[in-house]
Parts: sequence; structure tokens; C-alpha cells
Amino acid sequence: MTLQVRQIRKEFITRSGSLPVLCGIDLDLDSDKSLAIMGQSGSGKSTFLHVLGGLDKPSAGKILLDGLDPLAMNETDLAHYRNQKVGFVFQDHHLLPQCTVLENVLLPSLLGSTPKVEVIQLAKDLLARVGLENRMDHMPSELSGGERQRAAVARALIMRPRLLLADEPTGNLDKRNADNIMRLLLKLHEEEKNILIVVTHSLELAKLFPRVMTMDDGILAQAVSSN
Amino acid sequence: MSFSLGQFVVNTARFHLKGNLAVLMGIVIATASLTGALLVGDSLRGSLADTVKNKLIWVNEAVLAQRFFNEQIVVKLGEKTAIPAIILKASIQVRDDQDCLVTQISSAQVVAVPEEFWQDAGKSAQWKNLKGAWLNHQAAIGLKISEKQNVVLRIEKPSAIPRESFLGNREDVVDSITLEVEKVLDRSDKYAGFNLFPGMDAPATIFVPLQLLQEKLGITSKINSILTSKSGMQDKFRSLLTLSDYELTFKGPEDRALDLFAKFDRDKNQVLEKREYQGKMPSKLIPLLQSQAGTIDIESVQKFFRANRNYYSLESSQMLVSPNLAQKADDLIQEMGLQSSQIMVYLANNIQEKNNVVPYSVIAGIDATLQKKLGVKLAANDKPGQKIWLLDWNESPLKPALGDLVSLEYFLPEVVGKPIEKKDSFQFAGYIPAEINLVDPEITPDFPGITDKLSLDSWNPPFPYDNKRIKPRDEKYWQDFRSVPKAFIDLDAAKNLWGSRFGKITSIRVYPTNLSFPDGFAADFQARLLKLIDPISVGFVFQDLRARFQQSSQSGTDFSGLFVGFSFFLILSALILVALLFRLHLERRASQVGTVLALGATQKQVAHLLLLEGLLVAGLGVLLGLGVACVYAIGLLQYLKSNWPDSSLQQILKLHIPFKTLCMGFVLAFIMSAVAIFRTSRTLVKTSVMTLIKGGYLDSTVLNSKQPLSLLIYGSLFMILGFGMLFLPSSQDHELKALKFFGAGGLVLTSGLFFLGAFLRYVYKIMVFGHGLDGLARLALRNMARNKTRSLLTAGLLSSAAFLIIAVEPFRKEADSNTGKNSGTGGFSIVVETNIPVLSGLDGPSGIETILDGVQKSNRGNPQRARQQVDRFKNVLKDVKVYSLRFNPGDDASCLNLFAPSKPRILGVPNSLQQRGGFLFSATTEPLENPWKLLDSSNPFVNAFVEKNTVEWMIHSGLGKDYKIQDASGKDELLKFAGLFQGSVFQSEILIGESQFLKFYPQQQGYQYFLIDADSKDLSEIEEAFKIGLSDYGAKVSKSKDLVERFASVENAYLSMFQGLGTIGLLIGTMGVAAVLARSVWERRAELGLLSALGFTQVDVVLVMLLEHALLLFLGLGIGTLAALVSVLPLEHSTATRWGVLALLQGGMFFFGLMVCVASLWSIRTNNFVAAMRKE
Repeated sequence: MTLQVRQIRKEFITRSGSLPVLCGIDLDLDSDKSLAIMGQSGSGKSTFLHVLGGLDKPSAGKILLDGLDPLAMNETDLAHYRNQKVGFVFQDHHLLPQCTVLENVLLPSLLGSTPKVEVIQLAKDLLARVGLENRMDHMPSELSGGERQRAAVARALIMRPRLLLADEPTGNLDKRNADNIMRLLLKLHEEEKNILIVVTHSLELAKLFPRVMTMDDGILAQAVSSN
Repeated sequence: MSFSLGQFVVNTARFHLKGNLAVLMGIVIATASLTGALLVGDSLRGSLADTVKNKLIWVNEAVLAQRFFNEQIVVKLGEKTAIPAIILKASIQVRDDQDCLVTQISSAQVVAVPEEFWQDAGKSAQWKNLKGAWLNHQAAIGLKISEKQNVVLRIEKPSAIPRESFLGNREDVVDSITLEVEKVLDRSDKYAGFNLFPGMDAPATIFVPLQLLQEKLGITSKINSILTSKSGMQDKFRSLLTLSDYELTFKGPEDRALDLFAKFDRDKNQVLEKREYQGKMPSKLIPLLQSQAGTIDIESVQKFFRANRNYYSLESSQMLVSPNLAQKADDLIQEMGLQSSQIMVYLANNIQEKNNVVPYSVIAGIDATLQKKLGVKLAANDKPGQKIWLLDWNESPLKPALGDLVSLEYFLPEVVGKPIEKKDSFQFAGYIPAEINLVDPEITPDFPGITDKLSLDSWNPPFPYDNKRIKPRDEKYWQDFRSVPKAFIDLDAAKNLWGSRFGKITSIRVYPTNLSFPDGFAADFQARLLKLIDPISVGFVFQDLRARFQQSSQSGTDFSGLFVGFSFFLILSALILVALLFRLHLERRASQVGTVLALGATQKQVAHLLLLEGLLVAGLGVLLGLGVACVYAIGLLQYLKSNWPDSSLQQILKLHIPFKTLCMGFVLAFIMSAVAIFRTSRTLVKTSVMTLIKGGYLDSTVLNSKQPLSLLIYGSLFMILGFGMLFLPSSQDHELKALKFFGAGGLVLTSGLFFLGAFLRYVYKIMVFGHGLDGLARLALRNMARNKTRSLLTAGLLSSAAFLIIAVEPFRKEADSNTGKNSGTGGFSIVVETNIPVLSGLDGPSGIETILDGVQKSNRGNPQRARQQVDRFKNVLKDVKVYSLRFNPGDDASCLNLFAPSKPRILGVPNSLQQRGGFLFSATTEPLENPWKLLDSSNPFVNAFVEKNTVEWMIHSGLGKDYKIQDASGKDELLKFAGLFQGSVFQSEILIGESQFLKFYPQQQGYQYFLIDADSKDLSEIEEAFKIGLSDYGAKVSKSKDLVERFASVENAYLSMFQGLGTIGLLIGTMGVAAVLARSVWERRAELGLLSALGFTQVDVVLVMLLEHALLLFLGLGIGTLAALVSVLPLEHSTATRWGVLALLQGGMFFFGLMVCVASLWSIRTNNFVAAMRKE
């Protein structure tokens, strides 16, 4: 098992009291597996993804990725964990408007130690693989929504993460583009042999994944097989 | 429900309260900077105007004459508000029981007035019959005394005869008057600040009843001032002046007869008894005056005078008729077609022919007319200048043959130090019969101590006199002929030998055209002569003091201009801040604006709405700013007061808030803010709607059309222009200098911003990649270049502040450690100014003797202490070298005096100092090894030296420029500034050569300004020696280094203030950076969240932000510093510029800015960017 999640709980403190968001989630995923999580808005799926990616801390529980426990890490190690082990694709692309597409992809590598030439080549390869080989010197403002999200996918993969997390990556895209992105994510997952977890509202897109789970009031449950 | 546009604007402004408050704060700062600067100028001018009111109280006009005149003239003026007064400068001393000096005020004001002066019933009543004096608060504090204690006034004795003429009294110069202090006027008393002389100080003043001072001075019914609240009295005043007010007499035969009786007729019976005239009148004259009855009565005397001495004689009580008055009289005589003679009478110590000597004889220089009347005959080819005629008196031992040499020994006519004797030889040309009806004793003016003495032996002249040389025949002559001259020479020869700057003749005789003078001749002559004499030449003029002082208070340094000038960069900073904050504020609202535009509003409509909201904020901000301006102005004034080297400013400077300045501040600040707001609003609405809807920034991330090359070209152009200004012709004109200073600085600063613009465009193209710091720095550079306008505005803010702080620093005056000959002190350790002239100066051993003599006198009642002090001081004074300078009083021209100097003090530099040289010169018209040679009288111009700052800021002139002063007779004289001192002791005066000085001010006698070259180890002792030794002269002794530092501290006070303005600018700049940073953190929180998500630690994120803003900070400060350094290059500044201090300043400013950035970024530490990212 590469990813082990045990009894993850998360509560938010509100004015009207404690609000449970994640209610003891368990999950095991091997290194080359992918998973789609579906659920209604506010069900806790994005929070779960953020907890997995080390962006948020759970109230209780344990996570192990390749034997590493991000919840036991200090801030610096956690940042390193996010940089080296996790790749994020958000609903919004979050490309830096001041940087070109290539520079945006290279952004996580600023913290790494891969030789510059290599990492640039890798970024260019990734952009080629997402179909942006002709757009790498463009600014984000000069790209379409689909292109921007593809660039964001490339950026998420630049550090060759063990865990690729996508939080409604197609939420802002039309159907065709959404389908393309999802297929791209799956394709790259297969090529990179990483763990891919995607949160989506779309059953149609979820069906592309071999395994689909649902999140309902903070409880993750096995959905029907995609088949 | 109605919803007006106004309500909408107000509601919107309220909704965006935080952003609007930030903009409002910027406007408040801009308004306060501008209005505060204007208020400082107003306050300085207003305070000076208040000082004028406090000084003059009820007096508007005054006659402040240089000589005493008849008090009766005030009564004749018939003006109730006009009161007679004596206003003098004196020293006031407190002496102990043994008559030893305890405390002293060297320069105090003596105000002797009648009770009418006090326009306060209580004070008038107290003043009546007062036998003591009142002191003002300053005097009491200075003397450390209270009521019922005695003070001693040391006043220069009035002397009709110039003391530097050989008949002048040089021994008994100072009058001592002891008065009991009856009352001390406290500081709040409106009369305590009474002062009719220019300057900011409220001088120490002693008020004395007029009659009491007149009695003490022995000048009954004489005054030197008239005070009045009315104007327009000059014509009447002039018409009331008589020749006696000019110390002239014009007497005919009857007058002289009356004088004779006034002198001798003690029983007033119009008959001179033998007991009355015996020994007092020439015995040879008595038979001629007797009537047939053998008595000497008024008729017989008048008859004799009419028959034998039928002339009018114009004489002066000063012995010599001044050249100016003599010329006027001569002009009138020519005009009236009268026959006249000029006479110059002098005293010879010896008349010698071979071995025969006659001591102490009157000699007369007579012109051809009188020569003829005395029966002198000259051959056509005879040169009268070489001839001498002797009176043929019986007992005369002189028996020369025609052509024999007869020598005259006499003292030189002008005496500085000891009288110098000279001998000249003449050819004997004949005898003049000793007939007293022909040669009268009245050819010699009355001279107390000589002409009034019964015998030669009892003469008491003011020159070395040895009565042992008097022989019986000489006494016999005195009894027979009294002051009849024993010898005569030609007038021109006499003028050459005995004429001086005080005059060349002793009398002018006017003869009748016929046998007698027409009726009313004397009155007519006098009236016509009085018309020719300019009363201004002796100060007989009602000066409109209030108008003059008010003019001086308003026309000094333009402080508003100065402060607004130096606040320019601060105001600019504040306006940039307004623009920046408004821009940041609008950027937050970009999507709303985009939505409104998308809904169909026109750009103009939206711009108007934004502008209206902005103007509402601007209006409130400006109003609030006016209040802050007052507080800011108070702060600036307080700073100036606390840094001023003396207490004068502390006492007078108060905040003045003229309504018109507030209006001006409001209008200017509002317009400037509105322009900044308008420009930003317009830029926003012109951005594409979609960009706005997306919350896009005003700065597009796409490069605009201006490429780095064009910016580089603009930058280079401005740089060339900036440096070009450095090569403008060198000038001493401070306005041109200011133009160079601000021009070069402004251009280089602008050029720097263009280069920064190009740099931002260049770095925008640097690829963001790499590892660690390299990669983070690249990202920071990209971020900085992202919002170029914002970055440029921030850099502009910082550079303006840095410019002011750095540019001002090199002008700071440090105490010059060099006190050598070519320094500001000229190598002199001590400067002494006296209130009463020291006639012989203090140069050489005789000067030291004068000081030691003064030490002795200061301890009159304690001979033992006197001896001890003399011994002590003798030792320290033995190697002291003194240079004495002549002094014409006037306005302090230094920067310590905020009034414009209308009549600066003048110093006359002696040849000895000119030859010695020294002092530090900023510039001279000719490059001479010893610039003091420029003061040489052989120069075609009347060259003058003055301190550089004085000429630039106070006199508003410059090197090589002409400057008009008035000489003693009121005539305009042109000076040429041939040399400018730098950081010298001479900041309060103008220096000219002594010979030129004496031509301008012939009546100024003695020396009042002394430069002391002394060994520094005994300085305190020497200082004390001068203080005590010259206490009777009212000496003010200062260490020259202290003086230089005092002047420098004024400059430094201003400079500190301007640097303070720069510091405020820097604060504004860093506030701008902080605002930009805060805004960046806010608007980029999602971006920062992403960086966190990508694995950036908080340190990495902070580092990127810090690098971005630190670089901006560095570049902004760098541009300002570079511009400042360029702007100060062409100016002369402190010789030892504190480069270390500058570097520290620069480092300090950078560090401060950095700390502000760190403080702003501190919040990032706890920010949850992921949450922010999620929210988006």
C-alpha cells in the first residue's frame, strides 16, 4: 500500500458549535491507482483532498504516503512534502499572471535540486504532452480556459509527485474541455505511475476512473464500480 | 424612495470606507505638508510683525539723531503726541561696595523719557519726580539685581570736538552715572520690549527720567530723539531747526559784543567792570573798547566791533566746520555774491627761527582776502604756500629776515594713539602789525581749557603740554593779545597741514558788500543756509519706524518660499502617495467598475462617479489636513526654536494662521489631490471591460508599447540635461544656485525613474527558473516588474525623500576643527565688540596698557585685587596681538536676524589686517594670494567683503555685484562685493578698507571691533582680561570659534528641519511601500496560497515578497541619492562632507524601509493562504 489514510476527522468550529466535515475516513491506494471522489457541495471532498495534500490539518487521524506521515511533519518538512510528493490541480488554474506558461510550470522546481537544463527540458516535455508546446512562452492571459488548466496539470507534474490531487479540475470548463482534461490526467497518471485522486461533480467524468467513491456528510463510501 | 447621485456617492464612499480612509490619509499628509510649510512662513513673518508692535508700542515715527539738539523744538512742533527723549546705547554695571565690577550688560539701551511716554496713568504718576530708574526684565535678569539696588551706566560722554582730532578729549571718554533701580518691568509688561533699533532681541533696557539723565550728562534741555505716534511732521521739524542744532554759529558784530557781555558781565548791568574783564580780555583791546567816558558798555563795544570787525563768522562748536557744511556755506556765499574768507586756526607747539623758540602759539591759515585785509603783500610770482608772516609783537624773540626759514612744530590733526609731532619750515615773508583792531583774538574759536584760561601756564589742553616751557614774555603776550595768532600762513597750506576728515577750516567770515550788512541779513543767510543743509545727514528726520520695521519683517528671507521649496519633494511624495493609495483602492474595485461598464454605463459616467467620490474624500481630507497642518507647523516652529542658537526666536516665534493661507492651502491641496484622483480614475475606466470584470489590474501584464529602448533614450536625455545643468556658468546668485540644485536633482531623479522603468521592462523578460535564492530572486524581480506603475510610484516616493535627506546633508556645518589663519576664525581666538569706541585701538603695547588700566579702574575700591588682577593679566596678555577695526553701527546682517537688514553694520579694516591676510574665502573677484589686497584704497571700486551666506540670503546680492549704502551724510555710496567669506566670524557685517571707511563715516571715531590673536591655552584668562579691562567700554567678548559655531548652528537648524521634511517624506515613502506590500499580500493571497501548495515554505514566500520590495526600496533610495549627489556637485558645501554619515543615512533609510516591509509581511506568517485560495 502506498497511500494509507486512517480515521481522518476534521471539524470546524463555528459560532453555532462544532461542525464535523470529515468523519473518520479510511482509504488505501496503491501507487498506480486512481480514484474519483464525488459528492455534493460541502460534503467535505475538497477538505479531504487538502488534508491529503498537506494543505490542511485534520482534527484526528493518520496519513502515510510511501511511509511518510505528513501530519507528523513540521511546516518546513510539510512544505517539502508538498513540493516533492504532491501535485495539485485546482478548480481554478492559479497560474501566476506575471509568468509565462513555461515559467509557471517551472515554479515548483525553484525549490528543487534538479539541474536547470533537465528541469526545463522536463517542463517542455510536459507541456508538449499536454499539448501546449506552442504556447509555452505565452502569458496565462493569452490562453483559453482549457489551455490554462492543462498548464496547471503540467505544473502539478513537474516534480514527478507520488500523489496527484485534482480538486474539481474541470469545474470551470466546458464539457469538451472537461473531458479532455480528465483524460489527460488519467493518461499522465498511467505514464507517471502515481496515485491520482480527483474530486468531481460529474458522474460522466467519474466514470472514466476505475474506482469511484462518494463523500456524503464527511463519510467516504465506495460507489458503484465504474464498470 | 428617492436616491440621488449625491447619496449614491456618499454611500459608495462609506461602503469602501477602509480604502477611502487610506486615500484620505494621503490627502491629509499632502495638505499638511503644503499648508504647514506656508504656515511656517506666515508664522515667522507674523511673529516678526508682532515683534515690531511690541518694540514700538505706541511710537510710529521717531527722530533718532546722531547728535544732541534743543529740546525746545519739541514744544515748537506743537504736537501733543511728540515727546522728547534721549535714546542711547550704554553698558550697565552692578558694582560692589568697593566699586568693583560685579555684573555687566555690555550693550543695553538707555531710554530717557518724560512721563508722557508712559501712556498708562499709574506708570506716569510713578514716573513723575522719579529719582531713579526702571529696568526691564532682560536687564534685571542680566544684571542679577532687583529693585532698590544701584546700577552704574557707562555712557560715552558727549563731545562736540571730535575725539580723534588733536584737540579732542581722549582721556575722559566715559561718563558714569549711578542710579537706583526703582522698579523692574516684568516680561509681560508691554513697555519691557520697547526698542527703536532693528533686530529680534528685546534688549536690556534702562528707563531714566529725561530730566535726570540730562542733569547727569550735563546737557540741560538737550535731546537726541523725538518719539511720536503721528506722521507728517518732518517739514515743520525742519523749519524749526536752527544752525545751533547743527552745532553752528553765525555771529555778526552785535552778536559778538553781546557774547562778550554774556561772558564777563556778571552783574548784568551792561557795563564791564575792570574786575569782570581783568585778565580775561586782551589788555591791548580794552582801550579800544572803552567809551569816551572810560567805561566799557554795550554801545561802545558794538561800535568798536562794527567799525573794526564788521563781519559775520560761521563757526562750529566742533572747532572744525565739516567739509559738507563748509561747502554748503561757500555755495550760498557764491550765490549771494558775498565776499568771504575761510580761516584755519591751529596750534603750534613751537615757532622756531634759528635758536629762538616761541612755545604754544596760535597759527592761522588765511586766504588771499584776509591776507589783503591784514596788509600782506605778495609778489606776483610768490608762492604763498611756502610763506609765513609773523605778528610783530614787541617781546617776540623771533627776528627773522625776509626769506629766513621759520619752522613750525605741531601735532598731526588726527590722533590715533599718541599724538605725533611734525615740523615744517616756511619762508619768512614779513610782519603783520600787532594792532588788535586789525587782528582780533576771535579768529580763534573758543576752546575750553585754552581760550578760557587766565594764563598760558594754566592751559589744560588734551594734548601733551609742558607749561615749564612758558616764559614771561609768553604770558605777557597772553595777557596782551590772548588768542591772537602769532603767525599766519596761507590757507591752502594750512588746510593741507591741518585739515582732516573732520574739516579743513575753523571759520568762514562773511563781509558786507558795502559798508554795512543789510537789515535782516543774518536771518536771511541762516534761513538760506538751513535750506541747503540736508537734515538727514545728521539724523534730523522723522523716520517711519513702524513702516520700516514692518517692511524689514516682511522682506527678509522668504520663509514660505524656502519651506515650500524644501517641502516640494515632501508634497510630491504625499501626492504620489495619494495617487498610489487611490490606485490601490480602485484596483480592488476593478471588477465592480467593469461590471458597471458592462451594464452600459459610459466611461465618462463611471469616471465622474469615481471622481465625485474621490473629490468627496479629497474635500474631507484637505479639511482634516488643514488641522494637521497647524499641528505640523507648531512642530516645525518648535523644532526651529529649540535649535536656534539663542533665545531670541524662543521669545518671539508663535504660530500664526492667516485665513488666506488656509484658503490657499485648501485650494492648492484640493486641486492637486483632484488631479491625482482624476488621472487614476481615467486610467481605470479606460482599461478593457473584461480585464476589469476579471478583477484585472490597471497595469496590464502585457507589455505596453513603450519599449526599454525608448525609456532608455528618455532617461539618457534627462540625465544629460541634469548633468548639463552642472556646467552652467558658476554663479554666486543663490537663485541660480537653487535652480541648479533643484533642476539638476529633479532631472537626474526623473532620469533615474525612466531608467527604472526600462529596468522593470528588462527584468520582466528574465526567465523565472533556477534553484534556491536565484530562482526566488527571479520570481521577485518578475513580481516587481509586474505592476510597473505601482513600482515606479513607490520608487518615486522613496527617491524624493532620499533626495532631500541626502542633498541637504553636505551643507551641514560642522565645527571647523581648523582654527588656523586661513579658517573661518582667521586664526583669531577672540572677538571683542565694544559699545563705546576705544579711541587709540588696542593694537600693540599701548592697547595692552589700556586693558590693564581698565582692569585697574574696574577694581577702583580694592587696590589689592586690582594689583593682583593686573599682574595676572599682564602675564597672559604679553603675547597677545590685537587688530582693531572701525565700526559703523547698523543692522545685524547675519542669519540670526530674521529682519531684512536695511542698513548693515560696516567694519573698517586697518592696513595691518589687510597685510596680515587670512580667513577662509569662498570666492573673490580676483585670484590674489592675499585677497585682502582687494580692500586697498587704490582700487577703482570701493571693494567690500561679506560672508557668503549673508550676501546670498540676507542682502540678496552676490560676488562682484554692487551694493548701495549710505554714508554719514546720507549720500548713496556704491560698494562692490569683491570677496565672500566662508564660515567666518564676519556674518553680521560688511567689511571695507579703513581709509574708505573714514571717507564714508568721518565722524565715527575710535575702534569698536577687535580681533585677538592669542595663545589658546590662556584663552579663558585672556577673555576675562578683555571683559574686565574693557568693561567701561561695554565690551562683549566672544570666542571666535563659538561665534562661527553659532552662525553654523542656525544653518544647521534649517538643514535639520529640511532633513526632517525629508524624513517625513521617507516615512510617507515607506508608508507607500507598506501600502503596496499590504495590497500585494491581499491581492496575491491566492498566489501565495498556490506557492504554499507548491511547497514554498512561509520563509520562501516572505523572502520572495521581501526581495521584491527591498529591491524597490533600494532602487528608489538609490535614484534619490544619485540625484542628490549630482545636485550638490556644483555647489560649494561643507569642506568635510560626512561621507560616512551619508552612507549611514542611506543604510539607515534602507534598513528602516526594510523593517517596515518585514513588519508588513509579518502577517503572512499566520495567514492561511490555502483558505484564501479556496475562497477564490
